[in-house]
Formats: sequence, structure tokens, C-alpha cells
Amino acid sequence: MANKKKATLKKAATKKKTNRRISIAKADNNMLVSVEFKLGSGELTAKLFRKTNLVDSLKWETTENKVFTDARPGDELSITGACSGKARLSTNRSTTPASAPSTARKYSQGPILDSLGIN
Amino acid sequence: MNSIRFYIIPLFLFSILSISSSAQSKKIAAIITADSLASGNYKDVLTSFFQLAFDKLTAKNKELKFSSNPYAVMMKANPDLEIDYNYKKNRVLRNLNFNFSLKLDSSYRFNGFSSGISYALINKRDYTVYNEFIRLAIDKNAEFNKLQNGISQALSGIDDADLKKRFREQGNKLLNDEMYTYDKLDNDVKQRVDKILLDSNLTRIAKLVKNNSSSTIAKSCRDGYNEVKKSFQSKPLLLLSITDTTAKDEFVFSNITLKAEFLKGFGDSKPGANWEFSIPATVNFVDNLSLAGRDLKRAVFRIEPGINLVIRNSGAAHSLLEMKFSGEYSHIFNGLYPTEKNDVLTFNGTVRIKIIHDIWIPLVFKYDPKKGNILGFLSVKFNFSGQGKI
Repeated sequence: MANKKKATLKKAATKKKTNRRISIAKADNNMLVSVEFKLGSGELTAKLFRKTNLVDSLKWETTENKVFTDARPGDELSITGACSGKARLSTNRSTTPASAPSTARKYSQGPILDSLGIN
Repeated sequence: MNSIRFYIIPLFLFSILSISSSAQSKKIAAIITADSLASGNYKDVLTSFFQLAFDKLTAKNKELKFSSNPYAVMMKANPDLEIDYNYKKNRVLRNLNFNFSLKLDSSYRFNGFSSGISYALINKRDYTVYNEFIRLAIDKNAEFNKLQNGISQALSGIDDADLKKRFREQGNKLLNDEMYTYDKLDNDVKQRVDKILLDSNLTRIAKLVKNNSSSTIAKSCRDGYNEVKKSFQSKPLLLLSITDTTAKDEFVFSNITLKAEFLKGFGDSKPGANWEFSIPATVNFVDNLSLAGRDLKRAVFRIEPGINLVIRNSGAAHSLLEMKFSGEYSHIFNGLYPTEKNDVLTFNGTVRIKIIHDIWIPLVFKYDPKKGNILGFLSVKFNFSGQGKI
């Protein structure tokens, strides 16, 4: 009987934790952008546009993770730059086209020109 | 017999060249990499991953040579070394080459072993690590970056899902697909692109599409990048090396060579061809055969200043054929044999023909103006890139 009560309490606590996580994720507009340059150097600039207005801009000159603190669904990320080897960009948000670590955007040697819509 | 050989070799080379060029013309334009841009002469002095060479195939003493770069070998084992901060940090290792070779006699029997290391003391051609190169490449394509920003800005204000999808796809193709032309854009997308060109004052791109609506913006953008890259191919390179050779029957040095080689492009780099200075100088310490026993008392100095003409495929800027004309002066400091002269001057010619990708056939001719002799050497060199095709 005591064990059953314990299990019910544990289940309720887990559910509460999950709901809290979802609400945090919804409120959190952070967008982590990871850029990696290989076999050479590179430079990449990402500009965040909302309703045609520029709201934020970040620049990478080496392999690094950076965060946009206010990236909302419907925003558009403009990506420009160049690399002398290979470059890879991934985010922690759902974008069009996809940019999760497993489906990272890959750029070969040359100019870098791309656009990501935040879903 | 020799004269027949001299007619057959060029005939054979030209037949191979014609086959390879017809095969290359059928291929889709390949992406230009640092490797494909480098001239064969440059690859002979600094190997990108490894080079396998069969040297002096037609000469009495042949050589099977393997050259490599320690960083490229390490990178194969540890892919983390590819990341930019490691790549830049290990510049010294990337500029170091080592080589081993087997010497063979005319009957292809073992005739000694040789090994050596070389280091690029000045290597301004390695554009991959220059921030200046990236800055120049971005500045060159500033208008294309503005067009990308304009497209993204416009996309952020579109609510119609279908238009947004088409604009995104076509905008991406316009800037990245070298086969996608401006006239393929849907009318409503084209109107928006035109507005960006006008509002952002992108006159270069506007002129490009106005003069020829079937021109590709992506190709023009890549051409700008390649132009900056090509300008780095004529920068100076100074290489220092030391090579030793053992005797065939015991492990003692029979030859030690100290070498310095300087390469520098000059003149305007034209789409089809460009020129390069090449000055190799060597000091050889070899066994003096007139003395009993083994020693390294015979010292020979040799310098061969020359000009290398690199003929490139005008579209892709790949080096296809190279011709080097040089004068060679040699001086024997010590250990002169009775039949020899202290100073010898010859005029040399080298033709390097690219067969496919990284396989080169260098053919060397030497002319001695005093004796009127012509000598010819044929080699085959294979270059292997450690970075793979990007």
C-alpha cells in the first residue's frame, strides 16, 4: 500500500517536472548557434530579422557557440560570410531548412550565403 | 635509338593529353580547392598529403619516391586536428615534408635508399590560414552578402506560406546554384529581388542581370572568391631541405644534398596562363670515387634559375600544362675528376602535363651548349590530397 502511494507521488512529481520544462522552453527565446570552421579559417555573420526589422546580429571568426537571446517563431536568420576550408552551422531550434546538429547546414570552401526561418 | 625515343615520348604524351582533355570536358565543373589550384611545380616542392613519384624513368638510375606531410597523416588519425584553431596552431607541422625513396639501377635492382625532410620557411601561398584572405573574399562579394540580407529581411515580412516557401527556395538557388539563372525566378519572386537590388543600390548585380538575364549570380559570386584565391597562388614560397642517400651494400651515407628553392609568381594573372620564377640551388656532398674507401669529399654546387609558364583551364583555373625554361650552372668545389670541368652551364626545359586530377608527367630536357648534347628524363608523379574533395 505504501509502495503504491510512493509510486503515485513519484509519477506526479515527474509530470510536474516535465510540464515545467515545457513552459520554460516556450518562454525561453534563446537560440544557440554553433559554428565550426575546419581545414582553414572563416568568418560568418548571422543577422536576425523580425517583420523586416533587424533585431540582432552575431559574428564568428573562429569555431564557437553563440546565443541569440530573443529569437521568435517567424523570425529570419540571414547568414553571410566565407571560409577557406569547410564550415558547419547548427542551432537548437526548429528552422526551415532544418539546422539541428544532426542536420547541420554545411558550407564548402567559398562564399557562405544562407537564410533560416525560425519555426 | 635515342632519336626514336625522343619522337615517341612526346607523341605518347600528347595522345594521353588529348584523351584526358576530352574526358575532362564531359565532366561537370568541379569545385576548385587549394589543391587543384596549385601548380605541378609547386606540388613538386611542397606536398599537400603525399606524392608518389617514379623519377627518371628513362635514365640509368631510377627512383621510386614517397613524399608526405606529417600533419596530413596525423589529421587522418585525429579528425579534431581539422578544426580551425588546431589547424592554425600547427602551421609548422603543415609546412614540413618528409620523403623516402628507393634508388634503382637500369635493371630495376636496389641501388640505395634515401630519406629527407624539407621545411617551407616562407609560405605566403597557404591562404587557408590568412584572415586577410577571408576579409578580402568577403569584401569582394559585399554586394552578394547584401542581397542575402535583403532576401532574409523580405522573408521575415512575408505571411503567405506559399510565397515564403518559393522565395526562400529560389533565393537560395539564385545565390548558391551556379546552374540557376535569374530568368528562372517566378515573377512575384523576381519583383521582390528587383526591389532589393534597387533599394540596396546593388548596381553590380543589377547590371549583371540586366545585361544578361540568363547569367548566374552564384557563379559570379564564386568567381569573385576564386579571383582572390588565385592572387595568393603567386605569393612567395621558400623551401629548405636536406636529403641523404645510403650506399646499396651498407648503411653509410653516399650522398648528402642541401637544397633551397624559391618560387614567386609575377605579372598579371590572366585567366589562361601565368608566370612563375623558380630558383632551386643545391650543394651535394658525394663519395669521391678517385679516393680509396667511402667519403663525402666531393662537393658540387648547382643553381637552376628559371621561369615556369602555367597554362590553366580558363573556366576553372586548373593548371593543365606547364613549361619551365631554365639555365643550370654547376661548380665543383672539391673532388674534381680528371675528365671533368670545374664549371658547367646547361639550358633546361621541363614540360609537365596533367593527365587526370593529380597525376602529372614531367618530361625534362637538358642541353649542353658546349658539347651540343640533349638529354631527356621522363617521370610520373601522383599527388594525393589528404583533405578529400570538399
